[in-house]
Amino acid sequence: MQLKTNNIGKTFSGVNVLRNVDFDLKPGEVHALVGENGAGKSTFVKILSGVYTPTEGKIFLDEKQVNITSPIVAQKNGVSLIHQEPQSFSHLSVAENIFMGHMEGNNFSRVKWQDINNKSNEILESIGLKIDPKIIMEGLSIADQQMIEIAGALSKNSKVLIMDEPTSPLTPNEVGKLFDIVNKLKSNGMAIIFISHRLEEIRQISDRVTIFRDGDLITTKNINEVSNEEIIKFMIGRNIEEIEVKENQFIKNDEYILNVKNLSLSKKFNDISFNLKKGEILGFAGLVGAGRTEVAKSIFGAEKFDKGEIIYNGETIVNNSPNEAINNGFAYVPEDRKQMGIFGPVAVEDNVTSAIPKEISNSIGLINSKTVSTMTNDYINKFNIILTSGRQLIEELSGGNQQKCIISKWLLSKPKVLILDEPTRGVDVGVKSEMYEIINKLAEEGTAIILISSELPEILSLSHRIIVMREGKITKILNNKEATQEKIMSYAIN
Amino acid sequence: MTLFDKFLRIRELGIFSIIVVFVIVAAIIDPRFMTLDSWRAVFLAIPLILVMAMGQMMVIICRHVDISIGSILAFSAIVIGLLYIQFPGLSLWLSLIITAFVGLVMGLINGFIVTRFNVHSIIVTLGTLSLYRGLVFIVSGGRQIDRNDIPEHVVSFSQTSFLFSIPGILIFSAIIVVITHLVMRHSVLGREIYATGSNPVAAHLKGINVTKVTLFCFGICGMLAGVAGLFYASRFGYVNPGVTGVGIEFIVIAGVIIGGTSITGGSGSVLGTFLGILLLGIINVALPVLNIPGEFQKAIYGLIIVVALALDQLIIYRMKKLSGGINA
Repeated sequence: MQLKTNNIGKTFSGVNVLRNVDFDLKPGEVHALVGENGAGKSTFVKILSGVYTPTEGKIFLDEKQVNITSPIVAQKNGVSLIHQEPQSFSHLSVAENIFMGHMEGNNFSRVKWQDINNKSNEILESIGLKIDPKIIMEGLSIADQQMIEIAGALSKNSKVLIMDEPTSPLTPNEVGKLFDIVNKLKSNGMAIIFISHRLEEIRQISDRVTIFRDGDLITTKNINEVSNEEIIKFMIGRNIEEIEVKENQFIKNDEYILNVKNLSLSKKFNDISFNLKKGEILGFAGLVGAGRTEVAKSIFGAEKFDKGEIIYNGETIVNNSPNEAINNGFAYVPEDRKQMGIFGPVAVEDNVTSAIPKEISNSIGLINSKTVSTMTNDYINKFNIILTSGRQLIEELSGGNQQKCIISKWLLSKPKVLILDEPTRGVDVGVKSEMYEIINKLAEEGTAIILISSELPEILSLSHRIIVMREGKITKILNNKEATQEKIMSYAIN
Repeated sequence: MTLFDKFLRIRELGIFSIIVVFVIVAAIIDPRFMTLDSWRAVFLAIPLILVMAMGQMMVIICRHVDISIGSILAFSAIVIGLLYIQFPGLSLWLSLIITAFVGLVMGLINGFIVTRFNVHSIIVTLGTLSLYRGLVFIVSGGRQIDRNDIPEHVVSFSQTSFLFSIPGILIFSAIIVVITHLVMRHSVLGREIYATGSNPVAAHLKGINVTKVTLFCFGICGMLAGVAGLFYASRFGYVNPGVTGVGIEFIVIAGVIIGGTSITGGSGSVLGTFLGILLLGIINVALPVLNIPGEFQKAIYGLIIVVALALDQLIIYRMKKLSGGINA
């Protein structure tokens, strides 16, 4: 099915977030949308999938004008949205997840279990997924849940598939699998919109690319006719060098701040030993599920460990709780920003100062709001956090700005050891390079940093040394002179 | 996974074994507990709770809770009692329809406020708990419906003389339990209720009419509380505006939760709920038999429920930890 839009615009309470979008999508095409966060691409696909209704403009499917007033109307017209975070029913079976909302019959009809199980099996097999449709969704990986969401769209005979940053929660291995499926769907004539921040992926999978900036559709190009540099230029409207893999000086000093010996936790990780110097950035590479986050959590006291020793500043310590860890000078920026990093409906300044209750309160425990504002404003300026005021709710900020707030929060507690878990996930290119500057500067000032990241260029450009983990074990410790993407991947996989 | 883990995983089996252990211990302490009279008492006590628990379970699976059911029960019982004073010949079937309708309307009012104004159901039903109780006093003028106001054919509905010495309320509640099971486990609507409770946002995106599903659950919950009002009038032979149904929501909700329904929605089964209610019924009957002094019974009953709920959460937590679902 061919999709066309004419002059689509959207205004939220007087603010014009999308203007005059003329877009077209052909059957059998993978069409990438790129743009910084807030550029309008998410608003645009939400309009196509019925989450928002456009303020102006028209949508055509196969030359016929359609009014997409809700997600259901969109789905009935063959347009399905695959969410960035899979929207699953964890208590229900795989088959129910696929067919929920469009099972045969009326309310009190008996569910045709055999029928939906068989059909689910067919669909799952057709995209090369071996999952028993009868098992309960709970416990399946994000990647599997995503595939099942795609299966759900296929069960509705969708002709247009919109994938909103589908690869951001996936490991490189899983991304490969997803691309196999996307290619298969494409050859069957599916029209696919693909949103991603990763240009290498876009180059790999898409036929055309459309660039958004500040609510405008800037241009649409065949992917072969445009370079990464050009795309980035279109995205930010100015020239900045693409983040390149640069060589950090190997740390010369011998001030070891942290020494982890034989740390083990059953079923999670085994025999983890490494040391960390002052001012060093130690990268942790590996596939999702390799146990990197678990190691970090154990060091931070958010999780126990069974065996091993943590030597910090020459003394053996055990952080029994995150609270103890913070007092000892540790900080942990978690990977799951929404659930573990922010207090959503709370003001930015209260979020930023939430880890240092003692510093912002007087002798009887009352909070001094002036101190809160000043401390926050320091970091708003320092990190260039975009907001209306420190009293704005943090959930209203973009992902990148939220992440800057979280890092500010931990820096206020003046950590000696800072653990960053996927610090730039879902953050746009501009903010990313700002974050890298921040991280490098912190290390120069003497903070020891553990950096967990699934993005190899990020690990390579920031780390002094790189620890590669696989299935709960350290398979290799590389220093940045010898590390390459290929080497890391080979240790991460086998 | 060890065999023990697997065993814990089947929630219903867990509750069933607690019941067995409890019965054995009670029987050892006092063999009188194993008499027919005790068990008759158990099975006369549970239909009323069980019927309400079916509706409550649906509401909880759909991520809400209805704490106004005690007042709905009282209102429906008062209405039917007042009707009996006027029309002593009112048939059982008509009584059922009237009480069901009264409860349905009250339940739908709860559901309407929850869905239309997006207020949390605890707050809404806490309000209507008081509102409906107030209506009971207004309608009854504060007077009790007495034993001799309730016609014989209604009283016999909860007596062993009803059919093959099985009380009518037991048969009737069994039918409701079976229907609830079929709807929840096998109907499209039933699965949509689970889906709505499991992830309301996803349910909406998949085209499920979340408002309709929520209204349905509250409606049925109210309806069954209304029917329980008739059971109450039949079984206890009086309806007192200040006593009838007071505090019953705690027992119903506790039974549903002990039966394995997740308070955060999305999971729960009719069999589990039945076993949860059965366990509470057995404890209730066992306490006097075990010579627990009268003034202690209520406190101990409450204590057991609280301990059971805490244990239950502990088991769930351990299970999740074993399966790697929780990291901290």
